[in-house]
Amino acid sequence: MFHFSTPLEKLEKKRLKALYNPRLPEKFRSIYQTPLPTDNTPLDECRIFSIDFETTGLDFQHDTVLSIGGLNISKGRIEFDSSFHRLLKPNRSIKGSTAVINMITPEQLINGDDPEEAMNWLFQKLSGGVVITHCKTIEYNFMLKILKLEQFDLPLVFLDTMAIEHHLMSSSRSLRQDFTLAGIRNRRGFPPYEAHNALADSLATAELFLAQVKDIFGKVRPTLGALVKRSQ
Amino acid sequence: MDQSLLPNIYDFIAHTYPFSQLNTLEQDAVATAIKISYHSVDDELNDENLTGAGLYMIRAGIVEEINKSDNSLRARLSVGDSFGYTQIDKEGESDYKVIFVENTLLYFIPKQVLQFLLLKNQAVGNYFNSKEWVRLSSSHQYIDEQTQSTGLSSTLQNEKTVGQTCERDVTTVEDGSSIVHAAQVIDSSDTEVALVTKERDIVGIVSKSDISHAVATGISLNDPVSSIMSPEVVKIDADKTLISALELMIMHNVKCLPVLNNGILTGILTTHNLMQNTQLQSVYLLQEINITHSADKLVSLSKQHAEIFRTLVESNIQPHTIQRVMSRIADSFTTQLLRIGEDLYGKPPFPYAWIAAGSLARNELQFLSDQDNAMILQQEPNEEEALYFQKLASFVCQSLEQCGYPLCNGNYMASNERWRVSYSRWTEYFNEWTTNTDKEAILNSQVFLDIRYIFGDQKLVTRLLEHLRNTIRENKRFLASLCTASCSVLPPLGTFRQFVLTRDGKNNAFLNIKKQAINLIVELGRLYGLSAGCSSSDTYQRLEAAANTKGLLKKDEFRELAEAYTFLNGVRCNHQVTSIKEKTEMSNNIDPKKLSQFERNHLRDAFRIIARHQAGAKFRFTSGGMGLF
Repeated sequence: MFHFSTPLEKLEKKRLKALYNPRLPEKFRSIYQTPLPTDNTPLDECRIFSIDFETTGLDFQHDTVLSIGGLNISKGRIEFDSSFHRLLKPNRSIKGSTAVINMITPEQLINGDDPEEAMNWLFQKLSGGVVITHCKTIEYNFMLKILKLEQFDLPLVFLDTMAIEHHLMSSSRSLRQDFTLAGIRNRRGFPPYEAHNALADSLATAELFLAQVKDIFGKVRPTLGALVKRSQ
Repeated sequence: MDQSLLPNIYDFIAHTYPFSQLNTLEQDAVATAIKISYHSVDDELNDENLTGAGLYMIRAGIVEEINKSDNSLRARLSVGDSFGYTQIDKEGESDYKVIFVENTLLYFIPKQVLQFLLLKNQAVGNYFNSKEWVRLSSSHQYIDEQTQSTGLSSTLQNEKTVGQTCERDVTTVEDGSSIVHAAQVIDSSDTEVALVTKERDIVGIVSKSDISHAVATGISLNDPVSSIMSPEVVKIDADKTLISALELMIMHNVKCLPVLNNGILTGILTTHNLMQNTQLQSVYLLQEINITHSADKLVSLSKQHAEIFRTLVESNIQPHTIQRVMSRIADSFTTQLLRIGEDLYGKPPFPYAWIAAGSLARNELQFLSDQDNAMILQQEPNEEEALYFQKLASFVCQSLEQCGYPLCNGNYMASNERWRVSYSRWTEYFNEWTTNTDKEAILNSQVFLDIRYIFGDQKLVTRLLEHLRNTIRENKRFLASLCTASCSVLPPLGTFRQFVLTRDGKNNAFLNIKKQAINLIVELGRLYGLSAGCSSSDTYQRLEAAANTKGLLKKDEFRELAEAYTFLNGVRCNHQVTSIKEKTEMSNNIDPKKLSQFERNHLRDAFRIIARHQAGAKFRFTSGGMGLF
């Protein structure tokens, strides 16, 4: 029987392949050795993190990450005591306007953490887990770049709440919907989160994710594959 | 954690009672411990999710608590409300389950964190007490309450006692001294009054005006002072609050009180000592009313009414005390108007009594209350006599209206000839009402089961009340109909978002705090008071009498009803003062949007208490209970 590989199966193959690549940095080897969950893994058995990056822009080559934030979801509950937030030291000067949007001042950033060190730390933390973001390209690509792993793939299961929402809304035929995090939350009657920072946005994303899981699975025990499929 | 990172969660905690009472460090601890979950419409929380779990707060959405015993609605909750705390110390099966009316975002605070807070913070501890009345009693701190708590009360104004305020220098004369001696003593000590003592006891009080009255009427000044003194002296203990002193002065219409410490005279408290106290205005108003002999002047005095009410509420005085003061003022207006009326139309042909009915009779007059009154005539009047009483009653009722006591909608007034009849007619009325229990009979009886003597021949009222008590106490059938009528209105337990319940003329949703809550307790009080044979019509006293009668109310039940009653009246007082300040039309209708989440939570507790007791009363007084036999 012929069988098309699912995205998760493809990711797992890439992970195993990377382990044979001599150019894989030794410090990441243990991360790549951690097996990934499969399509049938129940969501409540996964290590789930919601993360968000604040950046100066969307150009992965020239823009930089200002801060990273995130928290853990365990057995359907967002655990607030697991939350983290780190400011990163920029490798070049920051335009004032960017700082205003992100409510982070250049002075704060000077004392920030080294981006590569912070990203290594995050990578270790997420190892073998499921990562939830709102529009995954940003977090995924900045991570790849800062970790200098462009020729590999990250051995992490990325779920995208924006793509999932698109999927859920596709039947309603409503064009020109607002798919920003704030727009979706507003539509779902969630309280607005005024703060524009990485931790607040990761929390906002996590709450949205819980609602989406309910929408998709109802009373059925959620599994990972269906969510990965809707995140493409 | 840096609070600026998540202003939303911190803001929510900081603005949600009782966490708003915590210091920022404690709020931090709460915020960090929060776990967030999402529930869709067909979800429910039950048993282990509630028992021994913790506290759930609603961040978005609507939930309902459903009693598992009978599937009835326990409460409907929305943003800012919380649930689960009554189940924290339980195991296994929960008393209620929670269903989700809308998709809902919940914040969850685990039991351990909550317990830590309860230990640290009394306000939070009381709030999360699983007994509603403890939660209700923690909602206020009236300055005239006899509470033992120290922390809060010391920060309140007016916590000074009578002993700290009174004058130590007391002028006394020995019993047996002459009037002239008393006059000399008073004159030399520059006071208004002297106490007349016999060894260590106070046997009377004599004032400057008593002496001038004696001079004016030609009494021999060598007569003993006891011949002109007032033998009834109202005294007060040194450890009482100034407010209770004020209340005594108002109740007994006196200007000074001897102060006792362990029964020994230690000072005297005069209106002068209370001068700085703004509440004094009510004492003065009362005294002014009593010396005013023109109806027009009374009307102009009545303008102070609103100001006094506002001052009392803002001074954080118990609603019940405020109502008593407002009732005393109304009594004085009525009494004085009757005196003026008797001057105008001549002395009555035979004795009569003027009685208050309804809230004034219960000493629960509220700022808005309209007049409920009636007359008991000693005998059947002939045509001419009937005309006299008609004129007198109309004059008093009309003047009372001008003094700010609106005419009664239901025409329960002495100006209505139906309620201005002889004693024997009154007894017939009551016999009729208690045997023929139709709707109108019940309505009439509800008004006139609360009556209190105001003016005239008190014996008529005492006799009627006694007749009433004897007729009703054993009349199970009447009590049953009264109970059915009283429990026909239910408290608004099914609160949607807030209280979408009744609509006013402009089609706005509101909570009528009088009809939908306060009256329900008044009626329970009447029911229990009557079956306990209580002679007072004061709601607290009725409930207390029932608590002291075997098999009627338990002490705890009395306590929770009293707390609910106090809380509800407090909400109403504050609401009305807001209307006075904002110069908006005053009513018992409260816009749910104007209730704080704090008030809503406690209102829900009060409603639950009422609902429970209505069910209890139905069981006790109506066939619902007898069906068991």
